[in-house]
Amino acid sequence: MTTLHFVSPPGGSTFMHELLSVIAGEVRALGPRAGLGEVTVSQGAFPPGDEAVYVVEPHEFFLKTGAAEQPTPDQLARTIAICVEHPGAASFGQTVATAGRVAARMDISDDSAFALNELGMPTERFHLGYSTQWDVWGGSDSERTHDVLFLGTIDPRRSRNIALDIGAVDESSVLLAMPPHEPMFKPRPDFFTGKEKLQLLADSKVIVNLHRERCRSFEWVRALEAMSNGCVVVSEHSTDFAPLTPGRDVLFGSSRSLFTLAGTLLRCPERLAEVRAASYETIRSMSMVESTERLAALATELAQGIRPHIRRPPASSPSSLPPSPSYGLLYASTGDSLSEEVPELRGDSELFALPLVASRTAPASKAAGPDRGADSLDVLICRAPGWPDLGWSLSSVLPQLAGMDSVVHLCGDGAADEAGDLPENVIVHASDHDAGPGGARNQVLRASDAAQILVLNSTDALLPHAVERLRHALDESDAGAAYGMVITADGFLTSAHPYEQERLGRTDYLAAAALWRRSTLAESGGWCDGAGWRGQEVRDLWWRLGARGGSATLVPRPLVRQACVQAVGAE
Amino acid sequence: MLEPDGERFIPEFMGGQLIEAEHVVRYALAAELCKGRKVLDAGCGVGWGTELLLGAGADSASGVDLSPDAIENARARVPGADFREGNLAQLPFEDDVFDLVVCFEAIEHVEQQEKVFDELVRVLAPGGILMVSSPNPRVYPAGNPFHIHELVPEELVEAARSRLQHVTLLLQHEQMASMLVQGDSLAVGRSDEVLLRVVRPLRSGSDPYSLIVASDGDLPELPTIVGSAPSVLHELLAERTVALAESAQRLRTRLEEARYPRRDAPVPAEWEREQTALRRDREQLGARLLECEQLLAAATQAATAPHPPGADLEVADLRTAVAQFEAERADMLASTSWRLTKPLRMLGQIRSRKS
Repeated sequence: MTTLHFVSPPGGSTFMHELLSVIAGEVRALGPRAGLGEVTVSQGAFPPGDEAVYVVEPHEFFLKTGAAEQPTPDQLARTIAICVEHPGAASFGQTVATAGRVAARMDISDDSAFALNELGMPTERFHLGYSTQWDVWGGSDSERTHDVLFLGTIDPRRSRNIALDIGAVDESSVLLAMPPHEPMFKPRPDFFTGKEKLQLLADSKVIVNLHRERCRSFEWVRALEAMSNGCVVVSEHSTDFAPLTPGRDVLFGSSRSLFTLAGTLLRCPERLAEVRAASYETIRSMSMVESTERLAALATELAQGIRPHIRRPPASSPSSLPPSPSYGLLYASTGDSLSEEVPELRGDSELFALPLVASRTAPASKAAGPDRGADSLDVLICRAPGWPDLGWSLSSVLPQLAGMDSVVHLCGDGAADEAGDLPENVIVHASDHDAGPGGARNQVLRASDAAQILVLNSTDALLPHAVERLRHALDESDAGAAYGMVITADGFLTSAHPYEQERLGRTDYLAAAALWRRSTLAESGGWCDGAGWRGQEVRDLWWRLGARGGSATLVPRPLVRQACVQAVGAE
Repeated sequence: MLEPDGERFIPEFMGGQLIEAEHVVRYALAAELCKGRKVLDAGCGVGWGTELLLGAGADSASGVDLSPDAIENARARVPGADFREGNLAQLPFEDDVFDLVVCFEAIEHVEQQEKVFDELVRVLAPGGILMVSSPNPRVYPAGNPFHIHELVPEELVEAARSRLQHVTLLLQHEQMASMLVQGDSLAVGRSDEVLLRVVRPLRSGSDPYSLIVASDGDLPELPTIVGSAPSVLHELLAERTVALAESAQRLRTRLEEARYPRRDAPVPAEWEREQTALRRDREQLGARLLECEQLLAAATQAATAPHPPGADLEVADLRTAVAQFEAERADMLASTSWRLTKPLRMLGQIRSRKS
């Protein structure tokens, strides 16, 4: 009897491994009619066996398997590729480069099957469908805690589209899990796998689906996982989504309005329930049996040394396939890695022994009062030359402090000009120009005795409920700081990944905006204010947080919108 | 008092501005010619120019204007003059009555300009003088809603020359002036003791008005004339500066309020209404967008589907039909009757070519 081994490379993508496991499970479920012996799922080199046939995802397997573990020509003659990448993504180019090495190919979407056939690699279509392995929901009426969910690696296109439209769901519970596009060797808080991912889908009302790079093909795996768990899919316009019906089983829209559509759907619970029920019914009628039987038949032919006749899918007629770009890593190292050497820290006592350079233009009694409780929160807004005036940030902060024990401290360049008729809880600190933003912030840190300090640049305007969400995140964790994603002035996302000290060494990916425990800031020694650190104060502080064994927690949604910074001295 | 509507110059409202000097200087020139003459001010408006001519020694002064309100105002202003309501294209006067007819900044307001010229000449006594002015559309800013057709200088000259023997064209330039006087000694009117110093030569394109002086008799020597009036520019600027400062302060206050909202500041009711309306609009638009996007997705799917339902059947049917047609055609070409009728078909082709 033919043994069928589904094999992933060591250290390969969890997503691919999970998909092969599901398909293996469906092949097993065929039972005796598959005509196969054992069906296994493993990682590493191909298990030996003269009658063994292997199933791999080609670009994953061949590119991540070491030279010593690469299959022999004899094994390759008994290998079937299950291709999952779409034209338009760089990884499709890798699929094209590797898929020709095996004896037979199947592909989970029309456009890539078409492209592979056009390129002279006969490829059959593997139709994914419902699997009980994906369904942890079971059609119950359980409560869902998340309104809107996004799962997918971050790229500039997704980043921009999310930043443009996310405001439409300001009032909803949103979780954007957008890990960087890189191999996942260990669990990450923004990368959900296995049962945890399926449960997250069962706990979410709507999932937004944006294509990666220039892909246009419907992301069937994500959609099936979601719909199997009653999570309604709101997707960017796609090809190859039959037999789903737009408006009934799935909702489509332009890439720039998906959160608007999700928000509209959330405001109409009846419609949401209708789509959930319809999509669940539709996918349950989508069987994988025909494709798994075909896979089993191909395996049997290969085991018998028969060169299989590949049934090409009917030639779909995509008007043009998107080009597959060579992927430029947005989050690759910037080349200005921080030194491994941790800067010398200043202790709390040393910090607070520093002379006060600032003269305060308002009485400090409220800020410096001795009885401020654990729920006190001060806001520190700093301006550097060329940044917007402090009003941009201040006007977004004040409404969110209503009813709180809080003082807003304005500092840095031009703060002293911010006279105006300021509310009584705003204090302006004159700055010592030589101190720079780091020094200006340290002055305020000494002047504040609140338990938590929200740090902002004058470029940062808070989005609705930002303070409330940051406080909740900080209170719920033992981290030293909490931060949310930041929409940059040019409409992308930054601060989008969880805190990783190692990543800070490669790239400056965390903005200044964050809610800190005051004790953590003090223990970290505040901001560096030496001239040599100018412009690196924020990254340095984040770095030192990790160096002291601390961490920060990410609120997985945008909480801040940045304004433009002028190039100082530029005319 | 007649309210200004922009169609007529009214000194009480427009005095102190350049427009006053522009209007006055034309009448000032006429005043040089009106002594002892019977004068008609055609398009007299509120009669301020008629008054000027009467004051300069005209034997009699008449005025005519289409507007009853203007005529009423003129009668009150200049009791010694004869004002009549009437159309310039149909003047309410006998032939050959006036020694001097002036028509300043009126011709451009009427449609029948040729007829107006005819009428002006009709009432002009033999040897009398006609003075007509118009904005020069090459310089004067376009868009005055009361102007039907502004005449370029050549049109003015032609209109006069086709009716009267001698024509002189004067171009009216805008100038800035500054006057040095001892006390308030300069009287209104003619001032022979003023020394005019032209600071810079006249600039081409600074002549927004043209004026012709025409007659069948000899034309008198015409002086260069400058009209001056005290400028209110400084006062206007000062007023506007104060108004701007007040407006800026109001805006600044509102901006501060918006930037730094007080914790206890009540939300204005209209803001709440606006927000509710915006929220409703957003929901309606969102729902509409959602439906439209689904239609688009379905339409795109139908348009790009490789094998729409029934397509195979249709293709198969068409193939069958084509094959059947081909077979029938072959049978027909091979038939005896087709071969026997070949000469007839050739004859038919020749006849159709000839026809």
